[in-house]
Amino acid sequence: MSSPATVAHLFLRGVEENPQPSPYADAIAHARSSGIEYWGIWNLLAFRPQTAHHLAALSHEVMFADAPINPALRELIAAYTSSLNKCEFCMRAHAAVAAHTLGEELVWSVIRDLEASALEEREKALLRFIGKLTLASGSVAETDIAVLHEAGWEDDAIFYAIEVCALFNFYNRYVSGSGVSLVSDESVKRLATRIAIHGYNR
Amino acid sequence: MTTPEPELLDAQQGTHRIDAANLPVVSEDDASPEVKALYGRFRALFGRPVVPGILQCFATHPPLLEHMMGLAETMLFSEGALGREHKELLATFVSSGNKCSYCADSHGFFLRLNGGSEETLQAALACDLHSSTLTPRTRSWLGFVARVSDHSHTITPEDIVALRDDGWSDVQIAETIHLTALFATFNRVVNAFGLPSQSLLATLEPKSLETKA
Repeated sequence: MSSPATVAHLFLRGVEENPQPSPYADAIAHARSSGIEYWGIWNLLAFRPQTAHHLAALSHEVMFADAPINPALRELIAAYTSSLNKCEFCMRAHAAVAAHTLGEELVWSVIRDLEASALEEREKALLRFIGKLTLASGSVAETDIAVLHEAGWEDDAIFYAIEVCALFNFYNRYVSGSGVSLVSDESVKRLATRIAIHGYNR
Repeated sequence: MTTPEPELLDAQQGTHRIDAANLPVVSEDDASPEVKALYGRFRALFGRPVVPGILQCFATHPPLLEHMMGLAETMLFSEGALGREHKELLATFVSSGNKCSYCADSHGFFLRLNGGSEETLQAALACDLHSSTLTPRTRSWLGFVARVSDHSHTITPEDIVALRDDGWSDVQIAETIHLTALFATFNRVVNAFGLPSQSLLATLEPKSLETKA
Protein backbone atom coordinates (compact mmCIF):
# COMPACT_ATOMS: atom_id res chain seq x y z
CA MET A 1 0.00 0.00 0.00
CA SER A 2 1.19 3.52 -0.72
CA SER A 3 2.05 5.86 2.10
CA PRO A 4 0.33 9.29 2.03
CA ALA A 5 3.57 10.80 0.71
CA THR A 6 3.39 8.92 -2.59
CA VAL A 7 -0.36 8.88 -3.28
CA ALA A 8 -1.37 10.91 -6.36
CA HIS A 9 -3.77 13.68 -5.36
CA LEU A 10 -4.50 15.06 -8.84
CA PHE A 11 -4.83 13.87 -12.45
CA LEU A 12 -2.32 16.56 -13.33
CA ARG A 13 1.06 15.34 -12.14
CA GLY A 14 2.74 18.33 -13.81
CA VAL A 15 0.85 20.54 -11.35
CA GLU A 16 1.11 18.28 -8.31
CA GLU A 17 4.87 17.82 -8.62
CA ASN A 18 5.65 21.55 -8.87
CA PRO A 19 4.21 23.24 -5.78
CA GLN A 20 5.19 26.93 -5.69
CA PRO A 21 6.47 28.57 -2.49
CA SER A 22 3.28 29.30 -0.53
CA PRO A 23 1.48 28.48 2.72
CA TYR A 24 -0.04 25.47 0.90
CA ALA A 25 3.35 24.08 -0.14
CA ASP A 26 4.37 24.39 3.54
CA ALA A 27 1.17 22.71 4.73
CA ILE A 28 1.69 19.83 2.26
CA ALA A 29 5.32 19.40 3.33
CA HIS A 30 4.29 19.41 6.98
CA ALA A 31 1.52 16.84 6.47
CA ARG A 32 3.83 14.60 4.44
CA SER A 33 6.64 14.71 6.98
CA SER A 34 4.14 13.91 9.75
CA GLY A 35 2.61 11.10 7.67
CA ILE A 36 -0.92 12.52 7.94
CA GLU A 37 -3.57 12.83 5.26
CA TYR A 38 -4.27 16.31 3.84
CA TRP A 39 -6.83 17.88 1.50
CA GLY A 40 -5.68 17.16 -2.08
CA ILE A 41 -7.00 20.62 -3.02
CA TRP A 42 -3.85 22.04 -1.40
CA ASN A 43 -1.92 20.74 -4.41
CA LEU A 44 -4.14 22.91 -6.61
CA LEU A 45 -3.75 25.92 -4.33
CA ALA A 46 0.05 25.57 -4.43
CA PHE A 47 -0.06 25.89 -8.25
CA ARG A 48 -0.55 29.69 -8.45
CA PRO A 49 0.03 31.29 -5.04
CA GLN A 50 -1.36 34.68 -6.03
CA THR A 51 -4.60 33.16 -7.28
CA ALA A 52 -4.74 30.96 -4.17
CA HIS A 53 -4.32 34.01 -1.94
CA HIS A 54 -7.37 35.69 -3.48
CA LEU A 55 -9.32 32.43 -3.42
CA ALA A 56 -8.63 31.77 0.26
CA ALA A 57 -9.35 35.37 1.29
CA LEU A 58 -12.53 35.38 -0.78
CA SER A 59 -13.61 32.04 0.72
CA HIS A 60 -12.97 33.33 4.22
CA GLU A 61 -15.09 36.44 3.60
CA VAL A 62 -17.89 34.58 1.83
CA MET A 63 -18.03 31.56 4.15
CA PHE A 64 -16.80 32.65 7.56
CA ALA A 65 -16.78 36.42 8.15
CA ASP A 66 -19.81 38.15 9.71
CA ALA A 67 -22.80 38.06 7.40
CA PRO A 68 -26.61 38.04 7.59
CA ILE A 69 -26.53 34.24 7.03
CA ASN A 70 -24.74 32.26 9.74
CA PRO A 71 -21.64 30.24 8.74
CA ALA A 72 -23.35 26.85 9.28
CA LEU A 73 -26.11 27.69 6.79
CA ARG A 74 -23.49 28.99 4.35
CA GLU A 75 -21.67 25.65 4.69
CA LEU A 76 -24.97 23.84 4.08
CA ILE A 77 -25.46 25.88 0.89
CA ALA A 78 -21.92 24.88 -0.15
CA ALA A 79 -22.58 21.19 0.53
CA TYR A 80 -25.96 21.31 -1.23
CA THR A 81 -24.48 23.07 -4.30
CA SER A 82 -21.69 20.46 -4.39
CA SER A 83 -24.22 17.63 -4.18
CA LEU A 84 -26.12 19.02 -7.19
CA ASN A 85 -22.84 19.21 -9.10
CA LYS A 86 -21.97 15.66 -7.92
CA CYS A 87 -18.67 16.82 -6.45
CA GLU A 88 -18.12 14.25 -3.73
CA PHE A 89 -14.97 15.85 -2.36
CA CYS A 90 -16.57 19.26 -1.72
CA MET A 91 -19.88 17.75 -0.62
CA ARG A 92 -18.30 15.59 2.08
CA ALA A 93 -15.96 18.34 3.24
CA HIS A 94 -18.61 21.04 3.60
CA ALA A 95 -21.30 18.69 4.89
CA ALA A 96 -18.82 17.92 7.68
CA VAL A 97 -18.21 21.63 8.39
CA ALA A 98 -21.98 22.29 8.44
CA ALA A 99 -22.56 19.22 10.64
CA HIS A 100 -20.14 20.63 13.19
CA THR A 101 -22.98 23.03 14.12
CA LEU A 102 -26.16 21.57 12.59
CA GLY A 103 -25.55 17.86 13.22
CA GLU A 104 -24.97 15.04 10.71
CA GLU A 105 -28.61 13.99 10.51
CA LEU A 106 -30.07 17.30 9.39
CA VAL A 107 -27.25 18.05 6.95
CA TRP A 108 -27.38 14.69 5.19
CA SER A 109 -31.20 14.68 5.09
CA VAL A 110 -31.05 17.98 3.18
CA ILE A 111 -28.52 16.55 0.73
CA ARG A 112 -30.58 13.38 0.22
CA ASP A 113 -33.98 15.07 -0.15
CA LEU A 114 -34.40 18.78 0.56
CA GLU A 115 -38.20 18.74 0.56
CA ALA A 116 -38.48 15.78 2.94
CA SER A 117 -35.87 17.20 5.33
CA ALA A 118 -36.63 18.88 8.66
CA LEU A 119 -35.11 22.18 7.51
CA GLU A 120 -37.24 25.29 8.14
CA GLU A 121 -39.44 26.34 5.21
CA ARG A 122 -37.65 29.68 4.92
CA GLU A 123 -34.31 27.91 4.51
CA LYS A 124 -35.79 25.44 2.06
CA ALA A 125 -36.88 28.40 -0.07
CA LEU A 126 -33.29 29.65 -0.10
CA LEU A 127 -31.92 26.24 -1.10
CA ARG A 128 -34.51 25.87 -3.88
CA PHE A 129 -33.19 29.13 -5.29
CA ILE A 130 -29.63 27.79 -4.94
CA GLY A 131 -30.71 24.73 -6.93
CA LYS A 132 -31.99 26.90 -9.77
CA LEU A 133 -28.89 29.10 -9.71
CA THR A 134 -26.64 26.03 -9.88
CA LEU A 135 -28.50 24.08 -12.55
CA ALA A 136 -30.26 26.73 -14.68
CA SER A 137 -28.87 30.17 -13.85
CA GLY A 138 -29.91 31.57 -17.23
CA SER A 139 -33.56 31.29 -16.21
CA VAL A 140 -33.25 33.12 -12.86
CA ALA A 141 -35.64 36.10 -12.88
CA GLU A 142 -36.98 38.86 -10.67
CA THR A 143 -39.83 36.56 -9.59
CA ASP A 144 -37.29 34.19 -7.99
CA ILE A 145 -35.95 37.04 -5.87
CA ALA A 146 -39.55 38.05 -4.99
CA VAL A 147 -40.16 34.53 -3.63
CA LEU A 148 -37.12 34.94 -1.35
CA HIS A 149 -38.32 38.35 -0.17
CA GLU A 150 -41.69 36.79 0.70
CA ALA A 151 -39.90 34.06 2.65
CA GLY A 152 -38.30 36.83 4.72
CA TRP A 153 -34.85 37.10 3.14
CA GLU A 154 -33.44 40.57 2.54
CA ASP A 155 -31.19 41.53 -0.35
CA ASP A 156 -28.00 41.36 1.71
CA ALA A 157 -28.71 37.77 2.80
CA ILE A 158 -29.65 36.81 -0.77
CA PHE A 159 -26.36 38.35 -1.90
CA TYR A 160 -24.42 36.02 0.41
CA ALA A 161 -26.39 32.97 -0.70
CA ILE A 162 -25.56 33.85 -4.32
CA GLU A 163 -21.87 34.32 -3.48
CA VAL A 164 -21.61 30.98 -1.66
CA CYS A 165 -23.39 29.15 -4.48
CA ALA A 166 -21.30 30.87 -7.17
CA LEU A 167 -18.06 30.16 -5.28
CA PHE A 168 -18.88 26.46 -4.98
CA ASN A 169 -19.77 26.25 -8.62
CA PHE A 170 -16.13 27.29 -9.04
CA TYR A 171 -14.71 24.85 -6.50
CA ASN A 172 -16.72 21.88 -7.77
CA ARG A 173 -15.26 22.20 -11.28
CA TYR A 174 -11.79 23.11 -10.02
CA VAL A 175 -11.75 19.98 -7.86
CA SER A 176 -13.58 17.45 -10.08
CA GLY A 177 -11.89 18.58 -13.30
CA SER A 178 -8.45 18.20 -11.68
CA GLY A 179 -9.29 14.82 -10.14
CA VAL A 180 -8.64 15.81 -6.53
CA SER A 181 -8.67 12.52 -4.61
CA LEU A 182 -10.96 11.78 -1.67
CA VAL A 183 -9.71 11.50 1.90
CA SER A 184 -10.86 9.16 4.66
CA ASP A 185 -13.92 9.99 6.81
CA GLU A 186 -11.63 10.43 9.77
CA SER A 187 -9.48 13.02 7.95
CA VAL A 188 -12.57 14.83 6.64
CA LYS A 189 -13.77 15.24 10.21
CA ARG A 190 -10.39 16.47 11.48
CA LEU A 191 -9.84 18.91 8.59
CA ALA A 192 -13.46 20.15 8.61
CA THR A 193 -13.26 20.92 12.31
CA ARG A 194 -10.36 23.26 11.63
CA ILE A 195 -12.45 25.12 9.02
CA ALA A 196 -15.49 25.29 11.33
CA ILE A 197 -13.34 26.92 14.01
CA HIS A 198 -10.77 28.98 12.09
CA GLY A 199 -12.22 29.53 8.62
CA TYR A 200 -10.28 29.56 5.35
CA ASN A 201 -7.27 31.85 5.71
CA ARG A 202 -3.79 30.33 5.75
CA MET B 1 0.33 43.86 -30.13
CA THR B 2 -1.18 47.25 -29.42
CA THR B 3 -4.76 46.85 -28.40
CA PRO B 4 -7.44 49.36 -29.23
CA GLU B 5 -9.47 48.25 -26.17
CA PRO B 6 -9.54 51.53 -24.20
CA GLU B 7 -10.45 53.70 -27.17
CA LEU B 8 -13.19 51.35 -28.35
CA LEU B 9 -14.66 50.87 -24.90
CA ASP B 10 -14.46 54.59 -24.22
CA ALA B 11 -16.46 55.36 -27.34
CA GLN B 12 -19.05 52.67 -26.61
CA GLN B 13 -19.96 53.39 -23.03
CA GLY B 14 -22.42 56.21 -23.29
CA THR B 15 -24.07 55.88 -19.91
CA HIS B 16 -22.52 55.33 -16.50
CA ARG B 17 -25.55 54.04 -14.61
CA ILE B 18 -26.21 50.32 -14.93
CA ASP B 19 -29.46 48.68 -13.88
CA ALA B 20 -29.56 44.99 -13.02
CA ALA B 21 -33.02 43.43 -13.33
CA ASN B 22 -33.07 41.41 -10.09
CA LEU B 23 -30.91 43.01 -7.40
CA PRO B 24 -29.32 46.41 -6.72
CA VAL B 25 -25.73 47.17 -7.81
CA VAL B 26 -23.38 49.94 -6.61
CA SER B 27 -23.01 52.64 -9.26
CA GLU B 28 -19.90 54.78 -9.41
CA ASP B 29 -21.77 57.81 -8.11
CA ASP B 30 -22.97 55.96 -5.00
CA ALA B 31 -19.72 54.14 -4.22
CA SER B 32 -18.08 54.43 -0.78
CA PRO B 33 -14.49 55.77 -0.64
CA GLU B 34 -13.21 52.19 -0.27
CA VAL B 35 -15.12 51.04 -3.35
CA LYS B 36 -14.13 54.19 -5.28
CA ALA B 37 -10.48 53.27 -4.61
CA LEU B 38 -11.03 49.75 -5.98
CA TYR B 39 -12.87 51.11 -9.02
CA GLY B 40 -9.89 53.44 -9.50
CA ARG B 41 -7.50 50.49 -9.40
CA PHE B 42 -9.58 48.81 -12.07
CA ARG B 43 -9.38 51.92 -14.28
CA ALA B 44 -5.62 52.20 -13.81
CA LEU B 45 -5.05 48.51 -14.61
CA PHE B 46 -7.28 48.31 -17.64
CA GLY B 47 -7.21 51.84 -18.95
CA ARG B 48 -11.01 51.71 -19.09
CA PRO B 49 -13.02 54.75 -18.08
CA VAL B 50 -16.20 52.97 -16.99
CA VAL B 51 -16.48 50.28 -14.34
CA PRO B 52 -18.36 47.29 -15.79
CA GLY B 53 -21.56 46.02 -14.21
CA ILE B 54 -20.08 42.77 -12.94
CA LEU B 55 -17.80 44.67 -10.57
CA GLN B 56 -20.74 46.74 -9.39
CA CYS B 57 -22.46 43.47 -8.33
CA PHE B 58 -19.72 42.78 -5.76
CA ALA B 59 -19.27 46.32 -4.53
CA THR B 60 -21.77 46.16 -1.67
CA HIS B 61 -18.96 44.16 0.03
CA PRO B 62 -15.55 45.69 -0.79
CA PRO B 63 -13.39 42.68 0.27
CA LEU B 64 -15.35 40.50 -2.14
CA LEU B 65 -14.87 43.04 -4.91
CA GLU B 66 -11.13 43.18 -4.18
CA HIS B 67 -10.63 39.41 -4.34
CA MET B 68 -12.94 38.81 -7.31
CA MET B 69 -10.86 41.43 -9.16
CA GLY B 70 -7.73 39.61 -7.98
CA LEU B 71 -8.99 36.32 -9.41
CA ALA B 72 -9.87 37.93 -12.74
CA GLU B 73 -6.47 39.62 -12.96
CA THR B 74 -4.42 36.52 -12.13
CA MET B 75 -6.47 33.95 -14.04
CA LEU B 76 -8.01 35.74 -17.01
CA PHE B 77 -6.41 39.10 -17.75
CA SER B 78 -2.92 37.63 -17.95
CA GLU B 79 -1.15 35.76 -20.72
CA GLY B 80 -0.45 32.58 -18.71
CA ALA B 81 0.36 29.37 -20.57
CA LEU B 82 -2.85 29.45 -22.63
CA GLY B 83 -2.60 32.99 -23.97
CA ARG B 84 -5.28 35.68 -24.02
CA GLU B 85 -6.94 34.60 -27.27
CA HIS B 86 -7.57 31.05 -26.02
CA LYS B 87 -8.71 32.38 -22.66
CA GLU B 88 -11.24 34.70 -24.28
CA LEU B 89 -12.43 31.95 -26.62
CA LEU B 90 -13.02 29.74 -23.57
CA ALA B 91 -14.74 32.56 -21.68
CA THR B 92 -17.09 33.33 -24.58
CA PHE B 93 -17.89 29.67 -25.18
CA VAL B 94 -18.57 28.86 -21.50
CA SER B 95 -20.62 32.02 -20.93
CA SER B 96 -22.72 31.30 -23.97
CA GLY B 97 -23.31 27.72 -22.79
CA ASN B 98 -24.33 29.10 -19.38
CA LYS B 99 -26.77 31.49 -21.07
CA CYS B 100 -24.99 34.53 -19.69
CA SER B 101 -25.46 37.11 -22.42
CA TYR B 102 -23.58 39.82 -20.51
CA CYS B 103 -20.37 37.75 -20.22
CA ALA B 104 -20.69 36.16 -23.69
CA ASP B 105 -20.91 39.66 -25.19
CA SER B 106 -18.03 41.21 -23.26
CA HIS B 107 -15.67 38.24 -23.67
CA GLY B 108 -16.69 37.82 -27.30
CA PHE B 109 -15.61 41.44 -27.67
CA PHE B 110 -12.25 40.69 -25.99
CA LEU B 111 -11.88 37.60 -28.18
CA ARG B 112 -12.13 39.74 -31.31
CA LEU B 113 -9.70 42.30 -29.91
CA ASN B 114 -7.18 39.59 -29.04
CA GLY B 115 -7.00 38.07 -32.50
CA GLY B 116 -10.08 35.82 -32.74
CA SER B 117 -11.80 35.90 -36.13
CA GLU B 118 -15.47 36.76 -36.64
CA GLU B 119 -16.08 33.09 -37.61
CA THR B 120 -14.45 31.84 -34.40
CA LEU B 121 -16.56 34.30 -32.41
CA GLN B 122 -19.74 33.01 -34.06
CA ALA B 123 -18.76 29.38 -33.36
CA ALA B 124 -18.15 30.24 -29.68
CA LEU B 125 -21.41 32.17 -29.32
CA ALA B 126 -23.35 29.27 -30.90
CA CYS B 127 -21.37 26.69 -28.81
CA ASP B 128 -20.78 24.99 -32.17
CA LEU B 129 -18.18 22.28 -31.59
CA HIS B 130 -18.50 21.12 -35.20
CA SER B 131 -17.71 24.47 -36.81
CA SER B 132 -15.23 24.03 -39.66
CA THR B 133 -13.59 27.31 -38.71
CA LEU B 134 -12.14 25.61 -35.60
CA THR B 135 -9.17 23.26 -35.92
CA PRO B 136 -9.74 19.65 -34.75
CA ARG B 137 -7.39 20.38 -31.82
CA THR B 138 -9.43 23.42 -30.76
CA ARG B 139 -12.65 21.46 -31.15
CA SER B 140 -11.50 18.68 -28.81
CA TRP B 141 -10.19 21.26 -26.35
CA LEU B 142 -13.56 23.06 -26.30
CA GLY B 143 -15.28 19.68 -25.98
CA PHE B 144 -13.29 19.16 -22.77
CA VAL B 145 -14.21 22.68 -21.62
CA ALA B 146 -17.91 21.89 -22.19
CA ARG B 147 -17.63 18.76 -20.05
CA VAL B 148 -15.89 20.61 -17.21
CA SER B 149 -18.59 23.27 -17.44
CA ASP B 150 -21.59 20.89 -17.54
CA HIS B 151 -20.47 17.53 -16.10
CA SER B 152 -17.18 18.05 -14.29
CA HIS B 153 -17.74 14.92 -12.18
CA THR B 154 -17.32 12.76 -15.32
CA ILE B 155 -13.76 13.94 -16.07
CA THR B 156 -11.27 11.05 -15.94
CA PRO B 157 -7.48 10.64 -16.31
CA GLU B 158 -8.15 9.48 -19.90
CA ASP B 159 -9.50 12.95 -20.75
CA ILE B 160 -6.24 14.45 -19.52
CA VAL B 161 -4.20 11.93 -21.55
CA ALA B 162 -6.18 12.84 -24.71
CA LEU B 163 -5.40 16.54 -24.19
CA ARG B 164 -1.70 15.77 -23.64
CA ASP B 165 -1.70 13.73 -26.87
CA ASP B 166 -3.02 16.85 -28.62
CA GLY B 167 0.00 18.77 -27.33
CA TRP B 168 -1.48 20.57 -24.32
CA SER B 169 0.81 20.83 -21.29
CA ASP B 170 -0.39 20.07 -17.76
CA VAL B 171 -0.14 23.78 -16.94
CA GLN B 172 -2.32 24.67 -19.93
CA ILE B 173 -4.83 21.98 -18.94
CA ALA B 174 -4.88 23.32 -15.37
CA GLU B 175 -5.51 26.86 -16.65
CA THR B 176 -8.30 25.50 -18.85
CA ILE B 177 -10.05 23.83 -15.91
CA HIS B 178 -9.56 26.78 -13.55
CA LEU B 179 -10.83 29.36 -16.04
CA THR B 180 -13.88 27.26 -16.91
CA ALA B 181 -14.56 27.06 -13.18
CA LEU B 182 -14.12 30.83 -12.79
CA PHE B 183 -16.79 31.43 -15.41
CA ALA B 184 -19.15 29.02 -13.63
CA THR B 185 -18.94 31.61 -10.84
CA PHE B 186 -19.04 34.86 -12.81
CA ASN B 187 -21.89 33.69 -15.04
CA ARG B 188 -24.02 32.74 -12.03
CA VAL B 189 -23.45 36.02 -10.24
CA VAL B 190 -24.35 37.98 -13.37
CA ASN B 191 -27.42 35.82 -14.07
CA ALA B 192 -28.57 36.08 -10.44
CA PHE B 193 -28.35 39.87 -10.59
CA GLY B 194 -29.90 39.97 -14.06
CA LEU B 195 -27.28 42.24 -15.64
CA PRO B 196 -28.22 43.16 -19.20
CA SER B 197 -25.69 42.70 -22.01
CA GLN B 198 -23.57 45.78 -22.69
CA SER B 199 -23.92 45.07 -26.44
CA LEU B 200 -20.22 45.69 -26.98
CA LEU B 201 -20.17 43.30 -29.95
CA ALA B 202 -22.91 45.16 -31.77
CA THR B 203 -20.68 48.20 -32.06
CA LEU B 204 -17.60 46.39 -33.37
CA GLU B 205 -16.80 46.81 -37.03
CA PRO B 206 -15.43 43.44 -38.16
CA LYS B 207 -13.84 44.82 -41.32
CA SER B 208 -11.72 47.44 -39.62
CA LEU B 209 -10.39 44.79 -37.19
CA GLU B 210 -9.58 42.37 -39.97
CA THR B 211 -7.61 44.86 -42.04
CA LYS B 212 -5.50 45.66 -38.99
CA ALA B 213 -4.75 42.00 -38.25
